[in-house]
Amino acid sequence: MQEAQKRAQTLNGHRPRRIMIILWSWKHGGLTEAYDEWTLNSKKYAGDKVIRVDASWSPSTKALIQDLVHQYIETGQVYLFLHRSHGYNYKVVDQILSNLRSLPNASQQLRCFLFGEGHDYIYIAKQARGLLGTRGTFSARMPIKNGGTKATQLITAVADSQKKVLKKEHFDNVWRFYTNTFKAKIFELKEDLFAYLLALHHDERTQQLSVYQDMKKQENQLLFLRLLSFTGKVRKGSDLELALKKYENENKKSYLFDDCHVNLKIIYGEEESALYKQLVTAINHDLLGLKDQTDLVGLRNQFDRLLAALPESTYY
Amino acid sequence: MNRIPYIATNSRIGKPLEAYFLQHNLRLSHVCLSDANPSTLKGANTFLMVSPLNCNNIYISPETIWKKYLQLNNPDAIFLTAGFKSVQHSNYLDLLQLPENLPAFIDQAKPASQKWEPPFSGGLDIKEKLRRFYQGHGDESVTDILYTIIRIFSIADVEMKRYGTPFRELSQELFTQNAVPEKWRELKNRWTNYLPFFQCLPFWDVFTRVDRLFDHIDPFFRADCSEEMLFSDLNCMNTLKQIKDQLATVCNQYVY
Repeated sequence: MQEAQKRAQTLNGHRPRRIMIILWSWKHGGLTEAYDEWTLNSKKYAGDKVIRVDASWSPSTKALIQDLVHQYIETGQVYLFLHRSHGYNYKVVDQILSNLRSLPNASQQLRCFLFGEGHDYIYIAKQARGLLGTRGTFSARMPIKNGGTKATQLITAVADSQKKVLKKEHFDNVWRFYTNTFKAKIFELKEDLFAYLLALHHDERTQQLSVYQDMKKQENQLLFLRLLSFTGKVRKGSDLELALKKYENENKKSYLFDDCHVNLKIIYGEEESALYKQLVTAINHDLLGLKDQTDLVGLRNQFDRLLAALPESTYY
Repeated sequence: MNRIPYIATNSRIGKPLEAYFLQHNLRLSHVCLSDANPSTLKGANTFLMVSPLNCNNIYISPETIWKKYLQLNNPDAIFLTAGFKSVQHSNYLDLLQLPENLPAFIDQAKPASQKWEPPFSGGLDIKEKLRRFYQGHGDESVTDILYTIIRIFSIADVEMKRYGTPFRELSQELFTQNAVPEKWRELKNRWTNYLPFFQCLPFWDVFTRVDRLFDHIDPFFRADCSEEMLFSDLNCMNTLKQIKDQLATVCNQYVY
């Protein structure tokens, strides 16, 4: 695994370029071509880029995305960001990644993320070192602390708009977060799940219930939904997805595993993919079935094996 | 029965953990993270932390820093950590495989004064975050940019006191030309990004004091470093030095 990580970090002896291809509402922000490139204000990172594309999901967009990934993955890592409101969902991610998985180094070099509705980390509205601002721009006016008075400050990721140059610190921050996001989400699910299971097994009132029955209680709903999403049971547009999105809006945190689920199944290495599938089987059997007894230690060990296999760190 | 203070940010864990300790005639007493300070922990023979801690909406692993803190401030205390990681360690309780004889386990645990490291609980490594805060390069360090601003202010201080240079001249030639208002905005942005992560640290009060100092002199920078009245009324030079000194107290002991 460490070897794979090293390979991912070194292409032809050079630091791999970092490329973000972002499909979003860029036409509002002045994009007139099929796509354009923005570089960073750092000579050392001259090859790192953000590629802007504004196109809803269609066969021609699929071809464009694949062409772009083919073009950029030759020399670097590619993170593909797809805006949910443009018609992108986990099924689309599945199609795109399935077509690209045979590319050399795809398992280390390519990841695909869904985002939308302003609460994902890529937005400046979520955190000041984001990339996406308002109305298809890299800038947003945000409220700031200024004594007792209300004030705003323009936060921009742009270093030079004429030359299409972005600030490296915004790029770095978003890149680092998404590098770890799948692992962080799985780790957080594990911690919350075992805290819940510990309490459940201790509480005599609930010992008569199966985990599945207990999880369906209102107070456990968020955890239950996350678990369903992790195991790929939350369908697009379903009540479950709407309920989970409601929690995302309330807590300003991303809970959906739809993109994570597809990345793990298709684009990560065989070992990670196999461990993920084994864990899903165990959760289905032990927690989401009607089983009375759960082997907590065994289940924990399966989580740990998957987490250990993912080459990224949990957080930056 | 002496109470053992403990920190756990996940409320579900408290009840089973307290019950387990009680089975062994030991009483746990929950301490909120915000109340975990020298006075609440003073005199505790044993201190338990369920790690990682949920802080700033993510899981953070501060056990190494807390161990060091106790080593310095309460060296005889037994520092225990607990969690869902599968680890065997003299000072770690695996919550899924708790020892049958807890008193014996605690008897064999090492005091904070001894040389040992708590097992890493797998969350955000706050020790590394602190190191980047103090020693990082480029866009990651807070102290780098703070010291640059302080150097410019020190020159201004000497110019005013020794040579009687008018403030207006300094504002133009030192502050504006060296882009101090922009540097300050960048410093504030970095500070604001780091600050919420440090709530899980035993010296959080130092950071809250520094935050107040940042707020205190912010109006001068907001006025583009051009208001002499603000410069003197807010005692900017002295406040910047206080920020530096406060931050240094943490760095000297915990960043290595």
